[in-house]
Amino acid sequence: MNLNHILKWEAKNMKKLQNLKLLPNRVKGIGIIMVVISLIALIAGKFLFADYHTIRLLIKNLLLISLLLVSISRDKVEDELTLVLRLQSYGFAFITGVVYAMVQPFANLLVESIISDETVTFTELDVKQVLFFMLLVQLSYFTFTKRMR
Amino acid sequence: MQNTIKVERAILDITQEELAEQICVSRQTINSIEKNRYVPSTILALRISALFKKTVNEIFVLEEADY
Repeated sequence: MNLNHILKWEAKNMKKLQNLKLLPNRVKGIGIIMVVISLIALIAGKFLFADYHTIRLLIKNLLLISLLLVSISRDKVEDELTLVLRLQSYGFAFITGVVYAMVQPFANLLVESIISDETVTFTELDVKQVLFFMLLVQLSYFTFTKRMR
Repeated sequence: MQNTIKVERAILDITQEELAEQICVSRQTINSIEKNRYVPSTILALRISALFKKTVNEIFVLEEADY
């Protein structure tokens, strides 16, 4: 396999990636219903399940998938302006996600040291918590800018 | 960049909604373009100019700050 072949293969796959389409609009409704169900399950699960820890992990995964479905599904009218706003919202969510991941552990440490009398330890953020934050920021930013257009 | 979409719409006597329908975008996108909050892509600008039967330069005019 020479360099030309590799470059052609790379270009072909890049084109495939660029042609990725958003999911149909009805998926957004399904995603929203799933978000509501997982939020209710997250609250009610404590009282309903004995093995809450495992169930909680599953519900958190479900919540992330639901938010992702809402995030990558089409709007009723999807045009070039919504595409621009969508891209801006992903960029904004990425930047705030990085800042959140860096700042939040220190903020937690500070708050805990003020509240608690015991020695507090530094804890890293959970990946899912950061992803949840990023998806929430993306959806909020997108919804807000769409309303302002 | 300024544009004369509002004037052209008035000449043809069509609403933002009707214009949006004809060029396959949302009414909000037309509103954003008219208020200079959004600069349309070349394809959309060409579609608008074709609809109004004018050149793109007649509808979209660069301001001094754009040079």
